[in-house]
Amino acid sequence: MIRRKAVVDDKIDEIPMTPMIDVIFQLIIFFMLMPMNRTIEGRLFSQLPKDKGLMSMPVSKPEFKEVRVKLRHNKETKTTAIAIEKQPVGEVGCTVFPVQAGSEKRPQRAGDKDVWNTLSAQIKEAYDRTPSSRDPTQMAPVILDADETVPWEHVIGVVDACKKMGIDNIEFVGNPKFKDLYK
Amino acid sequence: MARRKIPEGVEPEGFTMTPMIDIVFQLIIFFMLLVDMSRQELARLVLPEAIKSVEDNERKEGQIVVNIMADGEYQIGGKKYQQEGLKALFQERREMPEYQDPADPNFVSYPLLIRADGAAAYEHIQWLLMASVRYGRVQKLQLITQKLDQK
Repeated sequence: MIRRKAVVDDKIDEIPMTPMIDVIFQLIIFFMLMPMNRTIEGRLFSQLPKDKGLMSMPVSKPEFKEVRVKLRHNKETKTTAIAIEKQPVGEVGCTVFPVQAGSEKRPQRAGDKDVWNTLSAQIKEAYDRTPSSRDPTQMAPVILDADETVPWEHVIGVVDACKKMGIDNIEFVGNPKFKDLYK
Repeated sequence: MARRKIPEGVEPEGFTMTPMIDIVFQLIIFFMLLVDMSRQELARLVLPEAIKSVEDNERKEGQIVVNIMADGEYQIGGKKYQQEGLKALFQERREMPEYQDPADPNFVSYPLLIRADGAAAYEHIQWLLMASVRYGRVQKLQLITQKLDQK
């Protein structure tokens, strides 16, 4: 009887480590590059009026009515006072602060959310009772009158408050400080 | 009778997955870097939050994305601009026929995207708005914010 000799391959018992280390490094690089907190960016659409401002085109019927929202910033307290047609709505604090390498986000102050909600409601109320002088079937525009030190986040807050109420007719007041742009 | 010897150096047939996984990761990293490099026009800053902002990643023809840092510095496509540089840029684009609005040739058709840090003072954005109208005849405006979910 012929005995069949078993062929033993010594290398079967060894696990190849090199490709495994390679894959581990790939995984490390992948997770390092993967953005952990990617913010989703959105857009607020607006239009610059053709019949007002620096390059205004002549119009037959100018607009006399408006809903003016004023923002005045206090640098010391880092708060912005908001008023609609001279009626104070409240004060909001900053959530974005400049730091050495850019800026950083901090939590909103307690009570600020209520101020923004109140602002939305009051803007809507003022907007609904102010028809346009040019076209009574439309409403007068909301004029955003912010002083130059107001942080951009508060300006966006007011725009967002208007958009929440379905108000798209928002205009920005120019700054007489930039007189060379008026030439 | 001679025994049939298995020839040396013949490896058993099989499908090796390791190089395939390797290549997959290489491709993933490549495309991630590609996407990151293409977003160079978006500077790193803390955007203000808005609930009613609309997610819209579609690139409009000729659009300009102006990044305004917390200290008021203007950047377009990773390059810093002074006020005079921006005026010149707006004027140059205004004179290009392909950017004129066919409905109203007094104005341009492309939108101005303002991507400003939340801590930036309003005067910097005010200047940009006024200059874009005065020198660039811009009428369409888009304010870039961080999209916030409605609570």
